[in-house]
Amino acid sequence: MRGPEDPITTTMRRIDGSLHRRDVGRSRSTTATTRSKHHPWTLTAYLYLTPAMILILGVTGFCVAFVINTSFYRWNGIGPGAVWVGAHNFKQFITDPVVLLSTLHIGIILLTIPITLFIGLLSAALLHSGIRFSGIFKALLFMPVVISPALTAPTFREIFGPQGYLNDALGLVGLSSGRAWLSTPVTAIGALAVIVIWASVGFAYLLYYAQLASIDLSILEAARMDGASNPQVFWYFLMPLCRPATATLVLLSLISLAKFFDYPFLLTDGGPLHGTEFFGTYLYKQLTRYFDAGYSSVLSIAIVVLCIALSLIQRLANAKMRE
Amino acid sequence: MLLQFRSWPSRLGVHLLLVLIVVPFAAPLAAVVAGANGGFGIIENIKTVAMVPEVPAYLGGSLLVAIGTVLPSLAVSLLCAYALARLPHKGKPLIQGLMVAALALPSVSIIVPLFYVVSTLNLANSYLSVIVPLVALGIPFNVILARSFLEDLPKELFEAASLDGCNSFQTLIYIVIPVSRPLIGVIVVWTFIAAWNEFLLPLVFLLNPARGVVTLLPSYFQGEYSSNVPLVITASLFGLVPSVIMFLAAQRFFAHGLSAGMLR
Repeated sequence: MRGPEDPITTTMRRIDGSLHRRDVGRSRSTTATTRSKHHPWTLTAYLYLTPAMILILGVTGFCVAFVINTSFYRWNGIGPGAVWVGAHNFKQFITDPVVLLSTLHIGIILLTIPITLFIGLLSAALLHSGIRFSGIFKALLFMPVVISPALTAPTFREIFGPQGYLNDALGLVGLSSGRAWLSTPVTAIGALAVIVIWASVGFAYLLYYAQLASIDLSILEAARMDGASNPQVFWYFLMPLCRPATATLVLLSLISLAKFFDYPFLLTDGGPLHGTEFFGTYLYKQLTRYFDAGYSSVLSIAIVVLCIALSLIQRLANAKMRE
Repeated sequence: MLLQFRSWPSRLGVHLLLVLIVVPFAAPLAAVVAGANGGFGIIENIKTVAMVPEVPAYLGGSLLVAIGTVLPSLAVSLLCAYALARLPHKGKPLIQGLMVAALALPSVSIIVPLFYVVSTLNLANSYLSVIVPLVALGIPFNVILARSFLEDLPKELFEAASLDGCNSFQTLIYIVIPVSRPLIGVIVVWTFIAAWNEFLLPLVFLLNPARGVVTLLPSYFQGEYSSNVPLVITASLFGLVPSVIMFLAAQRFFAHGLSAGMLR
């Protein structure tokens, strides 16, 4: 039972309840007695949730169930003729050296997160400090976030090519190498890491900028009275005060990097010799080149499990930090 | 001021530092223009690319996919977020958990079923086959964004609406939507850009070269004019420019609304 209510709430509830109940086709007299037990809006709420639930459960739920089922079969992904193979695909997954390589690569790419966040926070703090032309800086920092990997990939292929802009720039400082950056695994992974930082700093900067706007300036002034320098203010005040934004950003980055696909697919296609392979590109290859839907499904599951595991680790770490 | 730069050398220094940070971010964008300027020059390249019939067709396709994604996504997400934020009911934590889980589901990991559905249902080469998964995959982010915005609206607004005799749907239409214009703007821009930029779904679904979207333009040009890199980059410019213009036009409220929603 609810406690006593003020008249406005009661009136509101009555008005809404009656309007709504007519829709559901109940009579006033029965609902008047149940009002205290069931909120009259509950059914409407479920009604409003239905389209979203149908789409999410229908599309994503169906796909997840389909993937789990397929992972137990040998199947070409198109026609009939799926053969039950039990855990065979999972055994293949455990012994596959390419899986190990992909894990290593995603680990390297995840190392870009602290760099991205640092550049994002630094530029957000600087842009909050009465800078001229800050509009141009802000627009340029965020621009990479809104443009498609598919559309920048041809340019990146040019930048990192043997006669590309990077080598031109290196030539200007006397370091001309003529290196094809995307053709050897180590430099290709490095190039991908740089591209990831380029593409994600804008989002980090944006959230930090908003978080910094809510900081109480009197704390900083007090610190400055005590002689804190700019680097000290940044390190001891701005970084800790931005922890909520950092937590959100780490979670979003982990989720988006675990499914890293577009750039390696477009720039190196996982090659040379799986040297830049990621779960996404390997999955796509297995499905469209070798028509091994069963093994692709295991790799799909691996990506989802990786997403969930990384976000759980992040949550635990975040809870630890707060203690 | 968060950090203070009082003396002119330090002011100069901080501007230089910002330039140093921003130049690498602008460099690839400059490289796009420089790359498109190769061969016979950017003007000639643009003319050549614009003459290819696939270019306007793919631009139209992207526009269709983007608008076709934005409208249902907005309606469905607003309804769902409104129910989660405003209407009391029991399954809330479960549904919120489902949203976060669905957010973690990448489109790469569902291409096996998508691939199958395409090849059996004859859905291939229909823009609808790109739109439906895009809407479904985009809802969680929009709902999380919208819910935090709607929860922050003052209670009195809703009480006043009820006193005036609005039911929950009327409250949504006449009260919530008019005051949520910034939120709606953010959802529209974000969903539009995400749909415009989507690459994997069109790659799997739109197999007929007559049907396409702008993200497929570079690979189409690579297939047709493989050695002519400036032409490929010019083609990518046709897809880049609209999303950049859209972002610049919406920048002010977009940046603010997006960060406000994500920081909750």
